[in-house]
Amino acid sequence: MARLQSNIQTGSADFRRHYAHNRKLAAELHERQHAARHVRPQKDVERLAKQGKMMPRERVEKLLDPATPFLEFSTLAANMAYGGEAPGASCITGIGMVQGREVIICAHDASIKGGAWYPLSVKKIVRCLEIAIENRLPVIHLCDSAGGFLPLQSELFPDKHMAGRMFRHQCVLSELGVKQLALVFGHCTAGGAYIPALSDYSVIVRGTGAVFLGGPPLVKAATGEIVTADELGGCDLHTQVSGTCDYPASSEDEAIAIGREIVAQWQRPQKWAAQQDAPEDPYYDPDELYGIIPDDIKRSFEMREVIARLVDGSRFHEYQPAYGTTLVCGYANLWGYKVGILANNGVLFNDSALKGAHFIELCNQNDTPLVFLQNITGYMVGREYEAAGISKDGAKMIMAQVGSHVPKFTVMCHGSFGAGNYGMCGRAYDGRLLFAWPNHQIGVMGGEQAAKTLAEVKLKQLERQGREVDQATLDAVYDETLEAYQHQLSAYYSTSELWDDGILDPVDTRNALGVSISAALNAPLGDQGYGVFRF
Amino acid sequence: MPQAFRFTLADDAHTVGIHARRPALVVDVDGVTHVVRETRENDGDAVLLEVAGRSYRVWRTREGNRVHLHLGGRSFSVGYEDAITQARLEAGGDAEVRADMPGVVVAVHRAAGDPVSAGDTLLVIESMKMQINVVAPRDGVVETVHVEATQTFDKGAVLIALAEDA
Repeated sequence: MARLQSNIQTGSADFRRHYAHNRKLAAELHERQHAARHVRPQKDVERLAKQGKMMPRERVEKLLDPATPFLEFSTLAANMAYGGEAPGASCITGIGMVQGREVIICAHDASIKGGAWYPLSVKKIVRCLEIAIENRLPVIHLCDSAGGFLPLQSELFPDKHMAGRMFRHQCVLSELGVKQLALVFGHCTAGGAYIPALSDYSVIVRGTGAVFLGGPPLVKAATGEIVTADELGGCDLHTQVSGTCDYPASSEDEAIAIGREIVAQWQRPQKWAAQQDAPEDPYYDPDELYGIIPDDIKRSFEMREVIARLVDGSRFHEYQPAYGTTLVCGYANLWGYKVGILANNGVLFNDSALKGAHFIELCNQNDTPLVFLQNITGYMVGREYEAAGISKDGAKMIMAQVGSHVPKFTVMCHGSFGAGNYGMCGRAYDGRLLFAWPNHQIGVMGGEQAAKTLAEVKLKQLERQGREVDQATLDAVYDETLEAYQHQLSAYYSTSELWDDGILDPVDTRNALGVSISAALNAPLGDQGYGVFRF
Repeated sequence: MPQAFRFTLADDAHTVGIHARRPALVVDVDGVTHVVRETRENDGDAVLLEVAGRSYRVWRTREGNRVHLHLGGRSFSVGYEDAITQARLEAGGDAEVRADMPGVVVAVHRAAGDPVSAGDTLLVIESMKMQINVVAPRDGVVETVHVEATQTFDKGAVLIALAEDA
């Protein structure tokens, strides 16, 4: 495979401006991540210390194999919700290595409101269990949660994808033969009691760990019985009497050591044999991505320059290089794994959509995982394109993409607007993992377009009512819409709502994809099969 | 004729053809035929090569498109020249820069007669609310600029032509 030839001029004014801009965005990302991970009110830190508890990240660090990668999901979940009072949505999730096995970590963060679950905490935990199911990854639950955050119970309890889904997913994992271990460091109250109860193995720390459907205050209110937490659902009760938990531990350190030894007993997974060559660093420096990504959401950029900084040896075999050129398709290796890449180099036309659909089928036939690199304003509009069947050609691309049995991964490299998001494996399309860059924006259309469209609609409305429309009214509609829109378009809003699995510093994208692909190979490939393509 | 492969050693290019693999490797290097027998040693990564009755112990390691060799107390680095790239270079580069999509010209940065390097922005176009830099595909000299600012164009239109002889 030939090495891509980069045409980037690192001395140009554009490159330097973009570089400075994107370095600033990356620095801001790291600052926000640091705050979400480590900054807690002193009283909460002291409260945990007084209980003899570690901070949740210390537990995770001790549990993981030393000097191995931990791919954390959605570090900035809930960063724009609840007035910022639930950093990381009060839990830590990700893929890490324990005893040489890839596992999902799901740790409650008791340094925030006693680890109570906000609606977005539930969404984040359910998502990590979904990742475990799709990739057949064992799960280690680090339990320390007060249960659902009562003031917001209507947003976290009743619906299909809410709290009940956590336990449903635990049962599905078990049915699939995927192991689960619960380390009970703190309380598992109400629904939370099912986490250890539905795990294959559980370890509970004497003195601080407790599992019960109703805590002491609820019991007192319900039956009048007065009982301490330890008597009601502590370590000795559950390991000696009820059999709800398996191993007693006299300290958090001991619980972690027992947990690691349990994982060491598990059968090592047989991964499916994806095509693999010796890994090789990209020839072009990923640091140059900062100078390639534009500082304006309306600017396009050469996606091959991005590919050249993600893949092994910067080598790329381009498929149909002269057809449907606004969608770059081709094969490359990443961490040695063969992948098929689809990357936007402009709006999707009929030919680009057909090429994409065809390439997706080729990759499926070849058992090659797919990587989508999004920078998309949508499918082409206009009479000429409708007459040529742009809607049905876009539909073919979506049909091929949804019918894929190979793992799919998506990186939001810049804009993701309109239906292009669908064809390019947006959030609704069950990609194994989806990451975004800090410059990313997402919406049904761009902010300026949306504001213009709404101002237009308003104008028509007022005219129909026979009213005079002054420019000031229109401007006000425009400005109001634009402002509301810009807020919701940002990568931080998107990741706050868990529309992605986390924001990446662009230079970390290669490693994040490498961990993701490696993890995805734990699940066997499904059967090939597509719906009906409209020709 | 089977595919010949191109390698570089120091700064010199060499063409290598393979005529037979078994029982011995028969290769043609720059028109001279060599018969090479290979036996893998048990005691490490070295291979033993036998060429024209002489034995060579060779250590090798691959790094992307290069192979590093150690034999006879000396080190060599052999580069593989990608076949597609080679063939393209021999055919010469593109002379015309075409529009991948319909749109409008936002700015023109180069005029006829200007020398350009690969990657230079020639003009900026806008299509579907997206601004796109149109860059020089290779080094050369601008022959004709076919569009001006604010002008609309169709998909496939020639925007700029580079002089044939770069």
